[in-house]
Amino acid sequence: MRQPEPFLLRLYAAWLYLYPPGFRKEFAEEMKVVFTDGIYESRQRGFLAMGSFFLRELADLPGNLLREHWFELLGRVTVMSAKLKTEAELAGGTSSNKDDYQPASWFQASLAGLPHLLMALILIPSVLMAYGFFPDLQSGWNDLGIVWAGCLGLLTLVLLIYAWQRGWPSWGASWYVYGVILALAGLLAIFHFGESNRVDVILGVLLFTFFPFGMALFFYLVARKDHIKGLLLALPFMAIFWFVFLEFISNRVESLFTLLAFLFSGLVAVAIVRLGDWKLGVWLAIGLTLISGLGATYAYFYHTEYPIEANYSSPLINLSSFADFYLPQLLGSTTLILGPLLLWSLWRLSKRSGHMGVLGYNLLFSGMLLNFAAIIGKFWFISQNSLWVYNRYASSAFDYGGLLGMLLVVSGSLLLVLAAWYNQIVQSRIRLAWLVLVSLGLPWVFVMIYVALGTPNAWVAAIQPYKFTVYGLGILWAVLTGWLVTHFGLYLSQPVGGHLNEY
Amino acid sequence: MNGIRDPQKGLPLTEATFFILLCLSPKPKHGYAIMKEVEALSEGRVILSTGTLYGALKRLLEKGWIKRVDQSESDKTSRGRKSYALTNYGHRVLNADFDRLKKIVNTAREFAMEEPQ
Repeated sequence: MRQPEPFLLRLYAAWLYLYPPGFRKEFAEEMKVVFTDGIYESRQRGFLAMGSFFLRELADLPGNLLREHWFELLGRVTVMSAKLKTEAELAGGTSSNKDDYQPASWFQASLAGLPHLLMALILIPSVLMAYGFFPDLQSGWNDLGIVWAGCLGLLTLVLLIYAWQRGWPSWGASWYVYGVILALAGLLAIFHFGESNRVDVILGVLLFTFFPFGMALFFYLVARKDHIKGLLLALPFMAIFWFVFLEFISNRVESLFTLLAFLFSGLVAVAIVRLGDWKLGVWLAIGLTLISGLGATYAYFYHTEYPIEANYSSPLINLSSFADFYLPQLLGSTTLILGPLLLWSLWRLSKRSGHMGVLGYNLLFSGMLLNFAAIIGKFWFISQNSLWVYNRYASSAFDYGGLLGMLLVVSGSLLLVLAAWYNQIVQSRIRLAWLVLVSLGLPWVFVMIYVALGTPNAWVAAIQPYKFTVYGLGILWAVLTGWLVTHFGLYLSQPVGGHLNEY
Repeated sequence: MNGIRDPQKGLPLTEATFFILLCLSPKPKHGYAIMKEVEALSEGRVILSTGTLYGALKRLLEKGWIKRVDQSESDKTSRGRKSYALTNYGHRVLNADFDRLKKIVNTAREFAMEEPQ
């Protein structure tokens, strides 16, 4: 018998390296054996049969690669860990989340904090120069900044490859976000979105509408599987969210406060990963945005330096303007932390609440997606109102889309809570009422996001007379939700994970 | 504990998953044997590439529907290959889908046997 083609076998062995490391480790040897068998046997039937076998393998490759990388990125339980579980454990549907999450090593914790600290490091020269140190460096800083950004990009790439080799571990999550931000910055440098031609406009729409939408969905899917990873994904935004919108702030104050915010983000990331405690991590992340926000608000009110030609007056400092600036953004960033965890909790509730519960959750979830898409779409639409797509019907479509989304959230929440009540899933009436408040509060938070984004639409105008009530309800929602997601086990009448397979 | 998880939750199975579970139901098999048998059982409708097969096996392992078995438990002639077998829960899922399909076929048969009006 002749041997199978060595070239095809080598080629196959090489393309197995494109699979995620975890998958490769588990299956590459077996796949090689199976491929060798396939080549060997088809060769007996002639070159045409062998070619057909090989082409089939090749044609399936892209889809298989995408699928395996997607599952790997979502942090699905690996076969290794599945092997360690007994069949009975699997039948019980024990979740890899995360009450028993193991603390990571100091090395892993440092890697989790490193991207934030590097961001802080970038800002150190700016701060020093703003305070009068190294005056000679001032002129050459722009060039140095580009070189430094390049080094950071390279380092990020190396770390991403390192994380990929280790099966996308939790500590790498903030690196992914910074990696995406760097890639976006690169794209923005190449294209001038929305300015000149239709290609740029279309790319701009894709980038600014579908990208946040995709990111939000990705956040949710990741946070659901691995809370620590979800928190680390959200962490970079706790600093960026506040400072990216500040304009005309004194450089001395802005660079110092941004530096401190990134520094705190790094410390929080280290603490979360080292302690391995996602519940504590939730409050640490909220604390981070609370403090960063206070810094940004202080900078906004006390260090705004409008250029004379801008013809703006400095912001008024009173309780109302403080609330307008601080609270919506605080709630917006807090939602980034709590939203995915709340949805995860409601999803668990729905799985125990029969078909009606699942239907309620699906309605709620689709309402959230619709509403979020409408917010993002409207925001882009308003900011690009010179586009050929602008007309008032399209504008109304975003408003009504958002409204429909809210109605779906409310009706889905009610249905879910009713199903939970009917199936006696929740332990007491107080906790049931708590759930009602939290899930019905979701639309309020969306209103907050509208306000935080400064979207000039009917929602923002409508809440003006009642804004303190709205803000107060928003804060109450955040506190109640924070408690709910970190103590969700107490709400269920059965032990968490003891009833249904959660994956 | 096994009784707690409802096999209906995993239904309906895709055609590929159904045939993989079906071909593993009598005895454990290794990867290439699964590929060949799935093709034969499906009369050529389901042809799995190695990547698709092992992606599916990975998911089935994670769900606890199949398990890896020692070589001593499986075909002794398959040296150097790892074999897979259905778990008890996997059997229950397969049976549940089989019942589902049977009901569909019975309904269709009864419907087709009715005298035309």
